[in-house]
Amino acid sequence: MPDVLAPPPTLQITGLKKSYVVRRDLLGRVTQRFEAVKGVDLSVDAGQTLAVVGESGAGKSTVGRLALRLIDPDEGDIRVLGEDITGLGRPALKRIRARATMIFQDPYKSLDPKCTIRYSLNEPMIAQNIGERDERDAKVDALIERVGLSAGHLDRYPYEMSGGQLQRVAIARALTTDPELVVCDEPVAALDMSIRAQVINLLREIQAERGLAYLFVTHDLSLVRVIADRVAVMRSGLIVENRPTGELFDQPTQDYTRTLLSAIPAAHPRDRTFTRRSAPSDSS
Amino acid sequence: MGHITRAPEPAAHDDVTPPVLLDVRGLRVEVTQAESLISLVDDVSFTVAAGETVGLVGESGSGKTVTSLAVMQLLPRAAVLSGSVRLHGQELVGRPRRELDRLRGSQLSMIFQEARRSLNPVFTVGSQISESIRRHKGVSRTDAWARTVELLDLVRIPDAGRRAQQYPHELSGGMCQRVMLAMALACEPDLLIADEPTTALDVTVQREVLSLIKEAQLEFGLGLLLITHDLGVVAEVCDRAIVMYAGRVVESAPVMDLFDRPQHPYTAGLEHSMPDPVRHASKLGTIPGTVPPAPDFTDSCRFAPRCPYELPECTMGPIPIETTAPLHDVRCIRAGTLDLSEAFYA
Repeated sequence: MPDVLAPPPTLQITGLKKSYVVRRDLLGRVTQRFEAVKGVDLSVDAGQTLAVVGESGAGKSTVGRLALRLIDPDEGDIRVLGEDITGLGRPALKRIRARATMIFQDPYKSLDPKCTIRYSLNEPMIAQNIGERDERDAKVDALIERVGLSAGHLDRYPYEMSGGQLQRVAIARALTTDPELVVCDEPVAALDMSIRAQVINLLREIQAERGLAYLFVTHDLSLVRVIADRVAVMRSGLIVENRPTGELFDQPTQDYTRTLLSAIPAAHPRDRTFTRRSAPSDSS
Repeated sequence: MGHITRAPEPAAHDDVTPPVLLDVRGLRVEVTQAESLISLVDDVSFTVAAGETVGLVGESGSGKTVTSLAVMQLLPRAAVLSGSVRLHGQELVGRPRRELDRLRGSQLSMIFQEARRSLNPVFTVGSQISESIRRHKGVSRTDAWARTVELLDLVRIPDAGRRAQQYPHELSGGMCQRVMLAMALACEPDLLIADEPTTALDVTVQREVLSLIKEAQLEFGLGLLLITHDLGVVAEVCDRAIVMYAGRVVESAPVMDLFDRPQHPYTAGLEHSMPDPVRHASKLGTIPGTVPPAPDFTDSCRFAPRCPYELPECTMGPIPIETTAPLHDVRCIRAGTLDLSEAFYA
């Protein structure tokens, strides 16, 4: 049992399950379900990053969405800062969503094309009734600078900005309500190489300043080593291995983890691992 | 056109590499926008030898896809292409369409990033492969089908006979990419252009598809032009790499050389922005700023605004690409004088 005096984990998930209806019969009765998440336990402490990795279809994004109850679980408990949010109604959930926010993969889709950047950054605070107008303005000004953009960007629309700039806006937006937890769902997958590193470094700096907890959903294992304290490897809706990053990379215990790790391309031709014998497995 | 200062003989590297298969010289592609000509790609020159794997690396907007489409002569009619693209010494630029149609698929083939979108959804994958065999080889329907199943087997599609009768939507992304590869190999081309063939795939599938491409290369002696933004893929499978930035080649070198001794600050920056647990456990180097859009391309160094080593001369005029070591070309006036080992770790 944990020490009663220790603060609760920022995010704690136990026995989480989620399935989707695949097929119904003529009368609308469910005849086939797909179990996306089949019983997942994980926790993230303040200031820590847990990376959830896996191949497409493993259920990692579903876990990210469940963590903030953007979708509802079938079974299991989700606790944010010690509070059980599994059964909360809308008003209470709204309060939680100020403290736990999300950054999505594609910033072009996650920012409203009809709104200026200034409005997009103000919106979460307006929705949450945070601050007076001038306080909000001051905060927006500070955040836009913090993410490496300038006040001049505030009056632009999303289409006037590059993907990297917009992802910075999305980060600023996720920070407007001073959350303790940020779920990052493939936040750099859509960005170019040189921009990817900028955004990763920014996320790390902000984490260090604010003691944020990140749940970092990604398929990119090479990034994980740079950003994550722990890694949870998912396969077919289950976590097959959840360990500190260094340990996992140095001594993976599961065959599946080993397969994933050995598929990461080398960073230098001298470390080339490529053999012309590919696994004969039928990869989905 | 162009400012190529390498030896004037087109096949300058004959002593070290097999005969040149593809020879691109002074390639330039322009489009009209708001009544002015914008160049998307200019002064692009490179070669691919038989059996060689050449990586064409760059970020979005660097012109790598435009270059590959220009090689295939697949650019839209609105694009103005100049320069020279030679395959086996024969000029492709300006060839009549009928002749190009004969070459495409039989001598040069291409596979794309999203395989499923490149396949026709209303025909079975087998019929799409045999179509190209029948077209180019003029064999019977039965023989073409037999060859199709053989090819699907070659790209390790299990139960090839049954899979051949399936439609693209019944196959996974990795399977579709294998089908594309089978189709590209159907008429034993000499050159395969693969444009981000594994970008949309999971790492494990990526590895399998890359292995297959490399195996096919050995089997058919293919020259392979691999277009990618992923330096990891370059490190794993390429013999040489060409780095493009804002429509121009900024560096090209054998991969060992390119990773050990990058000479262009952009190349060094890209390499340092890759997570590399061996050299830098937790910090990523970053290149400030972004790639300029094509209308803002200048004649002088296009990377200068992002470059920590910029000098006033960098923006004063055209920067030629120069050979600084065997097979190593760089477009930077400070090439060879800079220590780039810690570049971009601000």
